Amino acid sequence: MATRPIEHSTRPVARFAARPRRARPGGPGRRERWYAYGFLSPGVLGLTVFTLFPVAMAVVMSLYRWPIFGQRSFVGLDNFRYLLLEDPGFLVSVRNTFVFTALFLPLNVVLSLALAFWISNSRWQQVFRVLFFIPAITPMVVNAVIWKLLYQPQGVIAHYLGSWFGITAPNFLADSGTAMISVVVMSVWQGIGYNLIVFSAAIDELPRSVLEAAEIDGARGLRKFLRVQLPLMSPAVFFVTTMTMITSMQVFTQTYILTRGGPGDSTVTMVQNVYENGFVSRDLGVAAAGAWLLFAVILLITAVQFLGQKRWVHYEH
Amino acid sequence: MRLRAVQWASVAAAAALVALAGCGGNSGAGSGGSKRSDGSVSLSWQMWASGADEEKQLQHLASLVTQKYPDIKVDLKTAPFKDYFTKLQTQAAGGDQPCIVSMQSLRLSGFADLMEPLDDLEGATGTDGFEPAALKALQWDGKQYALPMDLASMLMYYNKDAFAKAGLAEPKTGWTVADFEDAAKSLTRNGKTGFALSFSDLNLLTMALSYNGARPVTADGKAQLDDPAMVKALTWYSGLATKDKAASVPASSSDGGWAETQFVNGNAMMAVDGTWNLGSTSTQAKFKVGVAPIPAGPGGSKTYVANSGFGISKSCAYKKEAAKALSVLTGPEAEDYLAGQGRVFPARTAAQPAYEKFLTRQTGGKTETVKAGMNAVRDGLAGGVPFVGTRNWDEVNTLFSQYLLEAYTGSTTAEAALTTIQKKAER
Repeated sequence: MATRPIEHSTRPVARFAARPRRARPGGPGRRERWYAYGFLSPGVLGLTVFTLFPVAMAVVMSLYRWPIFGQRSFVGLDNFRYLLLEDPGFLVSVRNTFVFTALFLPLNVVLSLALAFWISNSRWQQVFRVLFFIPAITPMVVNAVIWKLLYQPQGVIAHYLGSWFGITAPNFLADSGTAMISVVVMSVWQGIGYNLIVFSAAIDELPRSVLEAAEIDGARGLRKFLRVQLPLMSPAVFFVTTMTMITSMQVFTQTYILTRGGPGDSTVTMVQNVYENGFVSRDLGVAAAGAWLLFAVILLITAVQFLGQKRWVHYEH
Repeated sequence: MRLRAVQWASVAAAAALVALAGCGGNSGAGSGGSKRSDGSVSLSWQMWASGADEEKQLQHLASLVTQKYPDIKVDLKTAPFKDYFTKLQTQAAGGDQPCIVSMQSLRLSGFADLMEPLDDLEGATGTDGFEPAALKALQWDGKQYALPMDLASMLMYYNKDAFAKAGLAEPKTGWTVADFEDAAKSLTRNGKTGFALSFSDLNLLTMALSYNGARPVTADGKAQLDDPAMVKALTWYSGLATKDKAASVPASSSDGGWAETQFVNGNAMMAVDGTWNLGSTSTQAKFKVGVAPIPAGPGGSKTYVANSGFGISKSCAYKKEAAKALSVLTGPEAEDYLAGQGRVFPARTAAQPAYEKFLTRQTGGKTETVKAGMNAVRDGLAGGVPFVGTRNWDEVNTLFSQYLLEAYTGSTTAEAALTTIQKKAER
């Protein structure tokens, strides 16, 4: 019973493994195939209606001047030209998103990996897993609102910085020097639980015989971690970095609630730029173009990650 | 075999796409209303409401319409205020807006394209009995787009207990910017501030208007946020925090309601807020609440007035019926009812006593506060200036929250912040 969530969370790891493609003899018969189509159709229909159609629509919209009210007109690639060359806000949002990802991704991966190892030897491992997972299942909006209270000038963090260390706290969310860091800290706290579960499961599945052999050969501590455990866990590390990269490029809720992009434009992210172009400036065409650029950036980084995995990810199965 | 299945699947997918595309388009026949077989017309009316009470009040208004015009039925649909305008936008994008549209004067400039000017509906609606400022606030480009439900102006709310404790004279009609500065400075002590800054348009711009008459928007609806008068006014306003240290600064750009909340919580001793919060603030606060007009600059005390009302969407197929419905929804009976329920400070002069009665009841007989409040409102309305934004006012508001915060914390000057906002607002 207790192991079920672990199995579940490692399944996507296995999915990333490169599998040989070949036609299998004795595959499903005609009747089974029709059953399969029957069972698949609700999913396919849902995917078509709620994913493929909007995606196709977004392509069309990005080529139009498409105000929420009023006449639409075809403008070709003008929306893309506007975003990349004219709109000063878009490139700033790209920069901010990269800064967020560059801070959030390593912090999240390192901390969740460290925590996973730390609790793996504990008698209370299951309890810790649950505790660390709570922020991940609490709605992001709730987390962000609570952190906003913590960050207030007279809030808890400022109070303890003052009374314990005698430091006058900055106005965390109103100071452009600390706003992004504050958002990252909150996001790491929120995002660590999910990755911790994945790493924790990978640690539990490390083959005992290999570890024992390594120990007999004298591998200890950091050396054992870097040379034996980490390579064995590399599919999990790959899965976690890829997924975390994707979600962090799409960051929106935290920044919107904590800072609404301010002060100045120091925390406006790409998704907020898309949102504001669409629903504040009411220009759906520019918003769709921005969404496509975001997609392209994510696709590019993910492709690089997948190409790079050959060098360091080891699949044992 | 396999090929056929794939073909089937793609045909099905294509059919689904076509069907969906059909849903998205406007059928062209108009939206938001329908005619029944017995000849009666059903009109949809969209309005913001929070809670069952407000919903009930609006239902009552809808039923008043059918009472007067038995062949018109108003079909009320509500959304929470914070989602209302997003919903309206989304519906408009899908060509499916309601017949009767509820509109805020502040947002009219951005939604006017969606609405039918009422002047064009010949003799359908009367404008007698409304406060002139209430009507004026719902005009755009010289045309009346909605009939008013309420009327609001801005007031200086102050903590009576704090003034008494500091031995300060309470603000009253005729008090000046200098009086206000003195009060703010002497009330700032023990981690509490005399005043709280805001980047909400009305709260902030009313102070600028009264300080030196600065206007954010030109007469023809263009942003002029870097106008020298506006720069001067906002340099003074941010200086209340950066120079005088007498005002608290919002903790983040997402703290739209900072000043009001700080006041109610007893952390700031004065704050600018609208008349719409008279009832709730004086009930929630754990101290005695006083209200006064906005402190006067050289041109006297000034305030913006803003309000909400009901109009008709351009796509409505039954505009004549909708106009009849409007005349009831904003008619004397409806206004009296809403005022008596404390829902609004009524736009009709004749319904104002009903509101005063409600306030007295609501505040547990704090007649003095209520009288002062009503007087301040009347004073405000006398010198009241309807607030008209630019077409992209929502954008300007977002920019205020992002860039003015930097001026308030002192990391940039008011002039630099306003120049940036102006540049971005002009695009």
